Amino acid sequence: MNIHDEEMQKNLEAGRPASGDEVDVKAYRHVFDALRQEPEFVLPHTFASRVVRALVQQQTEKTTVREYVWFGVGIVLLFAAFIAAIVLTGFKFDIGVFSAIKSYKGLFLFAIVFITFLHFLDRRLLRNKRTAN
Amino acid sequence: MQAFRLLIGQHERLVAHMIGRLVKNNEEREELCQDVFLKVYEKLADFSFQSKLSTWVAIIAYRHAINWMRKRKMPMTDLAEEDHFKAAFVEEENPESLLSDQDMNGFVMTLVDALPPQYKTILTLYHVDAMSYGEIGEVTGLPEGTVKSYLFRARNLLKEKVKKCIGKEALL
Repeated sequence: MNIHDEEMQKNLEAGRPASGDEVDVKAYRHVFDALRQEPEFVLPHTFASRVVRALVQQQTEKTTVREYVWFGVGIVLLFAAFIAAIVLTGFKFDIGVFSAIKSYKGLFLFAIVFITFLHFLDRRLLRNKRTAN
Repeated sequence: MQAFRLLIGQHERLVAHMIGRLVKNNEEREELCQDVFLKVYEKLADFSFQSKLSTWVAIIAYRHAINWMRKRKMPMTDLAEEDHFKAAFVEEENPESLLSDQDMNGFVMTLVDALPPQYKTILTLYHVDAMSYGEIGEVTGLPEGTVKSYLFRARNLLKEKVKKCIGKEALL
């Protein structure tokens, strides 16, 4: 690019009259006019809401993954604790261990029904409330 | 979230200008703009106030768009090929060769689309978003002098092409 071009660009940009080849000046004027125009592509007015929604969804997914990881770790630790307890106490499996249940049939049945009921309440009330929030 | 919504509102024009200039498809443009703001949110804690927030957002937008183009193996003219590019750009015949004044803006923008991404970004940031050479340098990772020279060269390339077109009109 020559000095004249540089000078011409500077003058046109500053709004000063540009001297030099007339066709060059005219061409530069067209170029500057077009470049100053706002591009046609505009984001929709709901764009910000859409980004925030995607962000919330992304965070929820991350939380879910974290919850699953902790759940997995919990199960592994539970098994480890179970095995450690068996090894440390020298516990031997014997059918006689479960014979005690026979005497507390009603209590065990109640425990099962009660825990199932709690799970039902948890699903119906607490989780629905959390999803709504 | 309300503050971030405000940040989006303040910078969506800038991001749209940059992505819009580099990517053709409207759906992809929107998706990329969304990805840029998700990245901005993710990296917000790293913002060290050493530059303007708009410059920092523009850096993320530019890098994201360039990476996206590289992944899709889109043509990225190298500096070494620049002379060849200049010759080809000015000599290439366009079907829009003869135009009225009102079509000229559209014609120039079609020419801008054919420029390498760095040129397009520099032209947009300078002329539409009124960024300084220094800020554009921060965004593109180019020295200020190079930004200046790219800007002058890009306008010169466009002028040569427009001049060719005006010349033809005058002959008729």
